[in-house]
Amino acid sequence: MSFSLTIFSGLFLTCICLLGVLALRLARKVRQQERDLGGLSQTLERSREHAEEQKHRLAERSDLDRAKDEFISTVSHELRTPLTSIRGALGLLSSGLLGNVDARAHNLLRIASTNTERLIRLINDILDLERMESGRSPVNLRRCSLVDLSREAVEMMSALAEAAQIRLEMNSYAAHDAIYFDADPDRILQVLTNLLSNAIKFSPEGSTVSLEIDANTDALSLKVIDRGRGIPVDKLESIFDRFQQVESTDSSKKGGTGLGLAICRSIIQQHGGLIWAQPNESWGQPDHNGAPTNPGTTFCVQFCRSARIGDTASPREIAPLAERGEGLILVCDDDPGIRTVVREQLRRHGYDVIEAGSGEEVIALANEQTMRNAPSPAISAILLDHYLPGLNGWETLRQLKSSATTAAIPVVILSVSSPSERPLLVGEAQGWVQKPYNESLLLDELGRVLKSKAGTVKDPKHNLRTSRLTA
Amino acid sequence: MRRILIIDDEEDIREVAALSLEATAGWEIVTASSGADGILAAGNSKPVPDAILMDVMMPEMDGPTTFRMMQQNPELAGIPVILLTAKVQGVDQRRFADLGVAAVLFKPFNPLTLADQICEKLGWKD
Repeated sequence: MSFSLTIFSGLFLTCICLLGVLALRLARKVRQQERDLGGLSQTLERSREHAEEQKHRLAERSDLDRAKDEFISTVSHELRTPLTSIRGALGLLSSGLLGNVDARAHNLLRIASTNTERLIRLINDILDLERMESGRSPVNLRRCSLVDLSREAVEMMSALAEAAQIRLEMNSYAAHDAIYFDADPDRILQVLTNLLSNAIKFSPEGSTVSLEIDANTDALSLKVIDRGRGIPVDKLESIFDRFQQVESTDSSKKGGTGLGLAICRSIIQQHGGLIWAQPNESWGQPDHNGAPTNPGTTFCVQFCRSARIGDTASPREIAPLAERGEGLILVCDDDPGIRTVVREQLRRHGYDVIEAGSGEEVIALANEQTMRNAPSPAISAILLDHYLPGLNGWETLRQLKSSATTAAIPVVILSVSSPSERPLLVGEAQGWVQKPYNESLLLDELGRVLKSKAGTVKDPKHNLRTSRLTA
Repeated sequence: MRRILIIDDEEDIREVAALSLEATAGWEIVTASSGADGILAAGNSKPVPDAILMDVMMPEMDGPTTFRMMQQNPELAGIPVILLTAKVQGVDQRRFADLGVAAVLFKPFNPLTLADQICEKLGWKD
C-alpha cells in the first residue's frame, strides 16, 4: 500500500514537474512570440514610414515639376511679348507698306527680320523639346500609314525643294498591307518634314533627295537620302544632341535652330523607335556621267510594328480589338517615352495604367495602392524595366517580393536583356517581355500572367516566354 | 469699312497691330489698354466694332474674364472675339477653346498676314 502510494506520489510529482517544464516552455514561447510580434510590428511601422517618406518625396517632385512647368510657360510668354512688337515693326517697315526706305536701310531691316524669325523658331523649338522630354507632351497614337504620311511630308516640302532646285522622290518597297503602324501622325509628320528640309538645305543644286520606305511584319523602316557634303563619322551621333551641328556656322547660314534633330530623336523615342544617321551606301561612287559624287548622308528611322489582318489606317477613332484586358497596371520605366507608348497600348486594350519612373516610386505606389484597397491588392500587375537609376529592377523586385503588402502582385519584366542573361530575376518575376517589344506579345504575356495569378505560379521559369522583335 | 477694337495692355503691340491692320486691310481701328476700357470702348463705339482682337494676360481683368463680361451684355454679346495671345501651350489652347471665343491667334503674329488670318477665322470675304 505504502509502496503504491510512493509510486503514485512519485508519478504525481513527475507530472507536476513535467507540467512546470511545459508551463515554462509555453511561457518562453509566448514571450518569444511577443518579441516576434513586436519585431513584426516594428518592421511594419518601418515600412509604413518608408512608404510615407516615398510619398512625401513624390509629392515634392511633382511640386517641382509644376514649378518648372510654370517657369517655362512664363518665360515663353515673356519672350514672345516683346518679340511681337519687334516682328510687327520690322515686318511693316521692310514691307514698304509705310513708304520706301533706301537700299542700305532695307538690307538692315531684312537682317533684323530674318534674325527675329530665327529667335522665334528657337523659342518654339526649346519649348517643344522641353515638353517632350518632361513627358508632358501627350502622344496620340492611332493606326497610320507611313506611305500616306511620307507623301504628305513630300508635298509640304515641295515648295522649299523647288526654290532650292532639288528633286524630291519617294519610293516604297513595302508590301501594301505592311505600311501601317501605331503613331501620332502630327509628330511623325514633324520628323519627316524636318529630315526632308535638312536634306534639301544641305544638298547641292540640281541633286535629288529620296525618301525610301521598307517594311517586314515586325518593323517599318524609312530612309531620307541626300547627296550633300556628308557628315564626318565622328559627328554622326552627336548631331542628334542639342545645338550640335557639323559646322558651327550652319545654324546661321541654313536658318536652323540646332534643335531639329534632337526633337526628331525625342519624337521617335516616344514612339519606341530608333533614328540614326549613316553615310550613303553608294558612298564615293561616281554617278552615271562618271563624275565623282558627294558622299551624302542617309537618315534612317525604324519603328516596331505588329501586323494585323486586313490592316488599314484608322480614322480618328480607335480600332476595336479582339481581346480586352482589365485591371490596374503599374508601368515602371525611367524613359518617359517608353512609358507613354506602353500606357497608350495598354489603355487601348482596356487596362487602367499608373506610371512610375523609378524603383523607389514603384514601391511607394504599390504600397500606397495596396494599403488603400486592403485586403485585395489594387494593382493587378507591375511592368518593370530592369535598368533603372537608383534602385535597379532586381532590387525593386526583391523589395516588392519580400514585403507582405506587395508580394502577391505579379511582376512582368520589360527589359532589353533576355531571361537567360538575368537568371536571378527569372526566379522572382512572373513574366518577361524583351525590348524592343511587339505590342501583341506584350499583351499576350500580360494576359497570361493575370490569368495564372489566381493559382500562384510555383516556378515561373517554365512559364516564361520571350517576346522579341526579330528585325 | 470694317471697324476693329484692339484690347492689349502693351502699348507697342497695340500700335503695331493697329498699323498692320490699317496698312494691309484699310480697316478702322479703335484701341483700349485694359479689359474694363475695352468694354467701355466697345459700348461707346457707334456702330459697335465688327470684331474684337484681345490679349489674354492683362492686369486686373484678363482676356477670358473680359470676354465673359461682354457675353452678359446683350449689346456686345454678338461681336466676334479673337484672342491674340503669347500663351501657346496645349493646355492653354484647350482652355481657350472651351471659352467659346470666335478664334485664337498667336503672338508673335506676322504683321503682313494678320488681317488675312482674321478674315479667314471669321469667314469674311473682303
